Parts: sequence; C-alpha cells; structure tokens
Amino acid sequence: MDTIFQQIALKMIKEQEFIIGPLAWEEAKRVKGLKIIDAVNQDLVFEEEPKQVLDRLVAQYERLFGRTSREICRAAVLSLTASLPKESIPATLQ
Amino acid sequence: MFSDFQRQDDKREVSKTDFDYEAHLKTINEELYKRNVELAIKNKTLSLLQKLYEVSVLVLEPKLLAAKIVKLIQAELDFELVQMLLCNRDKDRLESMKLAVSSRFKNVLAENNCSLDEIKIEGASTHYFFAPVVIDKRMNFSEGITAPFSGCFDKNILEKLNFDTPIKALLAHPLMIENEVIAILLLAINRPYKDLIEFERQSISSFINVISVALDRSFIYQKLKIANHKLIIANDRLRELDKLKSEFISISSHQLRGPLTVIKGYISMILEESFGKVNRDIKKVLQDVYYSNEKMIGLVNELLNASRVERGAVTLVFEEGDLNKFTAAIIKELDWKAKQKKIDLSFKPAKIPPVFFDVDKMRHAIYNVIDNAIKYTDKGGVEVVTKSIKGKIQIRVKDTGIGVTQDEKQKLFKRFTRGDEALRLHPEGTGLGLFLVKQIVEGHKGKVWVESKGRYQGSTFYIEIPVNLKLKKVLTKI
Repeated sequence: MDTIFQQIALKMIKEQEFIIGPLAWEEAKRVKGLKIIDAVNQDLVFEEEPKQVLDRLVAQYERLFGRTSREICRAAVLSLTASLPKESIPATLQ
Repeated sequence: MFSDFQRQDDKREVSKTDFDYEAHLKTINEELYKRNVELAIKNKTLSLLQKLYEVSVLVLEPKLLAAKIVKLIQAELDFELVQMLLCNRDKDRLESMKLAVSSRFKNVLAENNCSLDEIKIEGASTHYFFAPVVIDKRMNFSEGITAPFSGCFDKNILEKLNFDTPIKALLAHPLMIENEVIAILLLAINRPYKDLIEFERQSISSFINVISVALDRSFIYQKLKIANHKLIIANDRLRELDKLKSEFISISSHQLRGPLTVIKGYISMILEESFGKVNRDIKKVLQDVYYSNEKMIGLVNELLNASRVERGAVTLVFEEGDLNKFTAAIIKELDWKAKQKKIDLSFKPAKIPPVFFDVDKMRHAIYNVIDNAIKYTDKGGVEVVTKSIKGKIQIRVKDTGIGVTQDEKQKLFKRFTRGDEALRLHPEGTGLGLFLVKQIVEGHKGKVWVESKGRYQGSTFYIEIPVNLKLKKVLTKI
C-alpha cells in the first residue's frame, strides 16, 4: 500500500506524463531523494523527507515548463492533499 | 584599431543573440507545454466520453446503466460521491437509482451507520436545494452535504456526517430530455467548488448530455420491454380465448347438427308422404322449412369446418385426379342455381395434366367460390376457366356481379369477414367460406386471390395449385 506522499508523487508524474510523455519519468529520475524503481509499474520510494522531495519534483517540472506545470501538479493532487493537514502539504502544492 | 573595435562589437552582438535565443526557447517551451495541457485536457475528456458512450451502447437496463455510469465517473474523476437520482414527477420525489462513493466517504458513512443507497427526497419541487435543479432546470451546488440531504437523516446524524465527511462541495446537475428533468446527477468533491479543475469542468459539461440521452434511451427500452411483456401476456390470453371459442363453436355446432339432421330427415319423410297424405298448403310450408333447415345445416357445417381448421384438426388426403372433370361436376351441380337467377354459367376447360388433391376439401373450395359468384351476380354470368401455367393449374372464376372494393380485398379471406354489399344482400352468411377456401388451397401449397375493378365491376377469383405437388397420398394437417 502506497503512502499518501507516494500517491501524490505518482499522480503528479502521471499527470505530467499525460502532457509531455515519458519525459515526465526521466525528469522525475533526476530529482534528488526520489528513486524511481520501475517507471512501467509506477513504483517509487522516497530516500529523503517526502515533503521536501515533492517540492523538488514540482520545481523540476517548473524549471523546464514554467508556472503552468506547477498549477498542473497542484490540481492533479487536489483530491489527495484535501485530506491532509495544511502543515503536511508541500509548499509548492498549497 | 578600427578592426579591434569592430571585433569587440561583433562579439557583443553574438553574445546578445545567444542570450535572447535561450530565453526565447524557454518561452516557446512553456507555450508548447500550455498547448499540450489544453490538448491533454481535451484528450482526457474525450477518453471519458468514449467510455461513457461504450457503456450507453452496451447497457440498456436503466439501473445497470446508472450503476456503470456513476462508477465510471467516480473512478475517472476521483470524486467522493457520484449519485443518480431519478425524478419521479408523479410523487414529486427524487429516488436514488445508483451511487458510487470513494473509500474515504464510504468509511464515513459506515462509521455513522448511514446509507445513501435507497434515499428518497420528498417534495423535490419545493426542496431548498433541489428545487432550482428540478424547476429552474439549472445546476446548483452546496458547500457540504447538509442542504441536499436534510430530511433524509436525523439532524444530529447529518451534522456529524457533515463534520466527518471529506465532501466540501456537492453539485447537482439536471439530466434533461426535451426540456424535462428526468434525473439529477450528484457530484461531490473534497474541495471547494471554486477549486474544480479545468478538466473536471470540461468533463462535467460534456458528459451531462451524453448521460441524459443514454438514460432516456434506457427508459424507452424499459417501457418497450414492459409493453412487450404485457403484449405477450395479452396474446397468450387471446390465444387461450380463441381456443376456448373454437372449442365452444365446435361443441355447440355438433349439438346443433344432430337435431337439424333429425329435422331434415323427418321433414323429408313427411314431404315424401311416408306418414300419409300431406295437403298442398302444408307441403309448401314444409318445403320452406326444409330449405331453411338446409341453410342452417350449411352454416353449422361451415362453423365446424372453421373450428377444425383452427384447431389443426383437418387432414388432407391427396389423390391423383382430373381437375377438369372434377370442376365440370361441380358446375353441373350448381347449374340450377344459375338458371334460377337467369344468368349464364359456362366452363372452358383447357388441357391440363392430372394433379394431386383432396377430393372433399377441394370440392368445398371450388364449390364455394363458384357458388359465391352465382350468389352475388344478378346480371350477366359466371365463367369458369382452367389452365396450366408454369407448373401450376389455375382455376379462374370470373363473374359480372357486385365486385370487390380495394378495402374488402385485404380482408375477404379472413375469418368472419364479409364484404359490405354481400352482407346487405345475404345477411345470413358466416363470413367463414373464403377463410376455409384459403386454408384448403394453402394446404395444397397453392394460393387463392381476387381481382376486381371495384363495386359492381365484377370480380375474378383465382385458385392456383402446383402440378408437381409432392404430397402424394400423404396426410397433411391444416
């Protein structure tokens, strides 16, 4: 069973994949603290504090595709972040 | 010196171009991303619509259709609740058809021992939340679930449910056909209504109409199914009644035929003076009684034959014979009737091969058609012709009588059907004669039909039976 943060990371990458294709997974692999075990089976783990890693993942997409990509990440995980206390939600997704 | 300055200027120019180029590329990249986002939203919306179309095409049962639709939308859009409420106008009530909930909301409902599966919202047209949807036919939304479900649960439970639920906004969309609200689609999300993302907004506005049409189609299907079921029951009942009627006719005809035959026998004996001398006046009266009795026996026989045909109790026994000789004998038998009416009755036989037919039944059929022609012709005459046409023998009975209208042609060979003019001239008929003729001829794998230019234009009846009838000396039930 994936943790809520794993679900958030997966949902963001899958949403980006829908827009930019497999490049979304390539960019996610470059994020420090995030280990993509299997892109095909959508398996990943956090090697560092998830909240910070998620912020880095959002920043990675934003660096390449601008502010819109950040909004896409935020909207994609709204149904998941809605159930989290505000302090647990990564700053980029608030 | 000049060239040094020139080189420096060139360098500056190049580096300035490099800088602009990079920034420009980034802008283009971001713009392309935005376009891709738009396409992705459209793509996702289309994909959802395609799935909904598939469901609507494959499923016709309203409840099953509703179940599939709510499940699909809930899974695709990750909503907390998707519910279809049927608009029962007669009872001014909204009734839950089907719903799909997220695992989060499902847990909350279970913890509070609540269920939305069978909810009924009474007084829909005056309901605080649903009235704008039902009456004004517009979308309505509420923050939380108190307003929509007030009246469905105890106030305390509803407050607790509202506190525990992840639902932050609940949208109610009317599903309409021909400007009539047939159902309501409830969509619940776990964030405020303003946070609905573009894909969700586009999807909702796209699938509302698709669902309306699919639902309407399934309701029509259901109505047709019910109507069909009723028709099957009614048909079975009619068949049963028809069978009972045939049995009744058969039994009562049998009961009538016995005494009628006895009457015939005794009157015949009296007329032949077997019991002593009979004076002329009484003889005259008895003769009338005899002919009336004969007519009655004819009618009863016709009824009996029709009921036998309907019960499939008539068996044809085929024998080889000469249809010309056979027809000539019938004409000879009927000649006196034509003479009595002072009309011509002629027979023009052509060279025809021998055929297989049931002597008794075919006699009945040909006799009936020629007898009718004489009965309904007052001037001119009746001409009977036989001929061989492409492996068939045709018997044509042409008269100069009352004719047949276009409307009568369609129903003349049906049971208990008579032409208007025929009914006026001879009200005593049963309307079974031509029905029996048709059954007999069809039992011979042949066909019978009538041609006429209309009222008082005469008519021509055709009986056609195949020459190479394979039913040689075989019994066939009709």
